Amino acid sequence: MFTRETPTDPMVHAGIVRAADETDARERAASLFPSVNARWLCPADAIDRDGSMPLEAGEPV
Amino acid sequence: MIRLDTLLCDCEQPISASLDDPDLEWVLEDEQLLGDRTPLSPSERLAAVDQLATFGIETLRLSGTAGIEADAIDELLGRATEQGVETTLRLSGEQLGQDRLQSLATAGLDRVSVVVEGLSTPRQKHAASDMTDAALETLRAADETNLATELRFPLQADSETDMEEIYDLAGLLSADRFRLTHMPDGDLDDERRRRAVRRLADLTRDAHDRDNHLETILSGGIDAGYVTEYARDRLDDECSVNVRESLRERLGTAPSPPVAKLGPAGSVYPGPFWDRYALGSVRDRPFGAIWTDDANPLLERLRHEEAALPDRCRRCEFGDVCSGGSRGRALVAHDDPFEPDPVCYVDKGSTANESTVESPAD
Repeated sequence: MFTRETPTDPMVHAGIVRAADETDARERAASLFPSVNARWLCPADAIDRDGSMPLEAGEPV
Repeated sequence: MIRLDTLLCDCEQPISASLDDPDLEWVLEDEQLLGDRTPLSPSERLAAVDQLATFGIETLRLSGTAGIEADAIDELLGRATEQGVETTLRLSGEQLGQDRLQSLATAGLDRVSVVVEGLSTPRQKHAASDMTDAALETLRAADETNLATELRFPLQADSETDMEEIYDLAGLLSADRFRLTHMPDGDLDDERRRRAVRRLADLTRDAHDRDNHLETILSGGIDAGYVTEYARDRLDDECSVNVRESLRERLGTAPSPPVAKLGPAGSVYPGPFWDRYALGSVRDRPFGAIWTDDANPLLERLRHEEAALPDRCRRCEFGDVCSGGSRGRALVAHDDPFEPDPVCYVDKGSTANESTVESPAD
């Protein structure tokens, strides 16, 4: 889920909603973020995470 | 979380714990929470422990471990210990023997926690009875190790009358801690919840008088109002004032949200009941960056209690000691995290009139 507070703000990742279908996802996002200017939703597995740093354990600090 | 024994029994100078960082619940295995991503690998889990320690998490509660290999759990516990993080293993019906408990202790585990939902009665199914037996056997075995132990009792309508016996069992089996958690249950009305907590407070004070120092914990963030009322009605004036002052101080230092949850695939949730919404994943950003993100309007609202409190809480006479309970329980019950916590059991008459009592919401 991506949201922006005003029409001039960039869309920012605002978290992940878990829902049974698209309608449910929209409703859940709206109930959690009722006051934002815009909400964009896409399936989590549609995100291409190319370039992300892998989560790897180093030596304990 | 309220530690009832020190609050009520040492009330001349009750101790207020410093609570600047949230506790962390880590569910290692849960199909419901997995979503579209694969579970963290053992190596990713170690990296997640490092992230948590770097942020300052001091207490880690592990659950959903039944299907995880013992070596992987031991390795995780070892890493947490190296990083100075205290660990509790929360079992949910599985039984551990003395050998396994000893190897967990050797790996660095600090506490094992079992759940007893009720005693075996004709009303209960065999599965519930087996879970209780497994929990009690695990407590017995843990008594032979140096692990601290905890018995969790979820308060529900079916088991409310068993509480006293279960509390006694915890003492008999040398448990170090008894933890009561309120569960949403339409059959358990406010008066029955008040009666249960009143009885637990009485039992705690009796045990203390008999030199039995079983820690008694009320968890879930919804009991401060009633405990204040109990102290006012049952303790002397000085203790009553001290209890309220201690609870007020505790509220001032409590992290908000108070508990973070980490899912099997690394998703970070704002609390134990937030299964439908995650803030982000430790695979994409470090835990600390997710938890302190100022750009997330929901997290920002949760962090500022005044804005997050439902109207009923703003009018409540216990607003100076209670932050309104669990926003996650409210989300599940009302589809809105800013509605009242469904398990709030203070006398609703106390919230009906505009009070002049000091409150953070004023």
